Amino acid sequence: MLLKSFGVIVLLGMTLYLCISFSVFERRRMAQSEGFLLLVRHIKAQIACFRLPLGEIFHTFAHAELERCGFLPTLREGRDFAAALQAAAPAIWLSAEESGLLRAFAGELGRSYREEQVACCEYYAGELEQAYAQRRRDHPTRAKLYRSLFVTGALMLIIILV
Amino acid sequence: MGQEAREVFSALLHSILAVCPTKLCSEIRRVAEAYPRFEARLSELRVRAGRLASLTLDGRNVPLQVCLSAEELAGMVRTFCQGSVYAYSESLREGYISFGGGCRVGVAGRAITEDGVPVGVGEVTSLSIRIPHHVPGAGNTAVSVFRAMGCRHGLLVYSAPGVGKTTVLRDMAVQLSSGASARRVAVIDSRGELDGDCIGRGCLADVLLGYPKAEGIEIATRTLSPEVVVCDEIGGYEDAESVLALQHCGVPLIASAHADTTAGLLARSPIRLLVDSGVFGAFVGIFRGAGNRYTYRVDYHESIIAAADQPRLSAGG
Repeated sequence: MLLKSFGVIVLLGMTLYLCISFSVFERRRMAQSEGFLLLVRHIKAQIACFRLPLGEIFHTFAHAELERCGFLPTLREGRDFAAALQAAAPAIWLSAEESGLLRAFAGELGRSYREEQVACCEYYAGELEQAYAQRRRDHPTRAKLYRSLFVTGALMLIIILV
Repeated sequence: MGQEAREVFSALLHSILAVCPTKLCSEIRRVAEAYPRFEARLSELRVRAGRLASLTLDGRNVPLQVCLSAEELAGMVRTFCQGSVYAYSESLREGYISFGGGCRVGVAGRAITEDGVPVGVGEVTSLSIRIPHHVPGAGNTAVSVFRAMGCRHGLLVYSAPGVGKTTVLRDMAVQLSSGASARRVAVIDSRGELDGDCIGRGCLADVLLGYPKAEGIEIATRTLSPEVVVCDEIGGYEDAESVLALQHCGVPLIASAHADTTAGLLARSPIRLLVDSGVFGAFVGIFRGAGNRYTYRVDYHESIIAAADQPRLSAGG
C-alpha cells in the first residue's frame, strides 16, 4: 500500500512537472516569436530613420528571450543574421513557417538600398506578426490540450497502478 | 613614412585584405614578397569581375594572376558596407564607398536609373580600392607658399587623378594645424579620404565628415570659426558659390582640383569663376617625376590671370 501511495505521488508530481514545463516552453516560444517580430520592426525603424549599419542596430536592441537563447549575443559578436540564427537554432523553438520567414529575411537583410530594405522589413514584419497573432490565438487551446493530456495520462496510470 | 603612419597604414592594409577573397590575398602576398617596401609603394588595388585584378605600385599597373567573379565582388561590396548596403546608398549613388582610415573604394557597374537619374549600382563589375598614404613632407612646398602669402589667400592644388592631391592636402592640414603656430583648420571631408587616422593624431583640425562640400563649407564657417578651410576636389558650380561666400568671410581656402595644367584648370568654368574672383592667391601643380618623386609647379594669381588673358588679347587683337 505504501509503495502504491508513493507511486501515485510520483506520478502526480511528474504530471505537475510536465504541465509546468510545457507551459514554460510555450511561453518561451511565444516570447521568441514576439522577440523576432520586435527585432524586425526595430531594424526597419533604424534603417528608415537613421540608416545605421546592422552591427550598430543589433547593439541597440534588447530582448530577454533572444538573449537567453543565445541569438542576440551571437549577433553582437559580429556574426550576420543568418549565422546567428544557425548558431542559436537548438534553442530557438519557432514553427517551421516562422523559421522559414526568418531565414528568408536573413538572406535579404543588408543587401539592398534603403527604400527596398525598408519595404522588405515591412513585409517580413507583417508575415511574422500574422504568425505571432495565430500563435497567441492558439495558445489557450494548446495549453488546455497539454494539461488534459497529462492529467488524463496520469489518472490512467494511477488507476492501473491502484 | 613615420613609424606611427606605417602602423596605421599596415592596419588599414590588413583590414582591406580581410575583405578580399583568399585567392586574391594569396596573390597579393606573392607580389608583396617580390617588391621591397611593398606597403609604401602600393597606391591602389583594382578588382574586376571576370578579368584580371591589378595593383598600382609606384604609379605602375601590376596585373595579378587572379580573376574574381561578379558574386565575389558583390560579397566584397557588402563587406565594405559592413553588411548594410542601405547605409551607403548615398555614396554608392556617387560611385564610391568610404572604408574608413581615408580609404575610398570606387565602384563601377550597371547603373540603376529612375527617370534617367542614376539611383544606385547593380551588378558590380569593378572595384578600385584607393589606399591612402600619409607622406610627411608631401605638403612642404604648398605650405611654404601658403605661409609666404601670410596665410591670408587661398591655395589650389591641382594634378591629374591619382598623382597625390589628397596626400598633399592631408599633409597640409596636418602641418597647418599642428606645432607652435597651429591654426584652426576645418577639414571638409566629403568622401572620407582626407581624415586618415594620420590627421586624427596630434593635430588640431576639426573634421566635417561626409558633408557635401557646399554645406560643409557653410557649416564650418558658421559654427567652427576656422582660420583655414581645407576641402578636396572642388569643381561644381555649387562648390564655387560656397567658396565665394567663404571668401567674403575672410577665411582662406585650400582646395584641390583635377587638371594637369593651369590651362586645363582654367578651362573648367567653375574654377575659372573662382580664379577670376581672386579666391586663390597661388596654384600648386603636382607631378610625379623620375623615381616616383613629387615635383611641384607654383603659379601665382597674377601670372595665371595674365596667361589666361593672353589668348583673349590675341583673339581680340
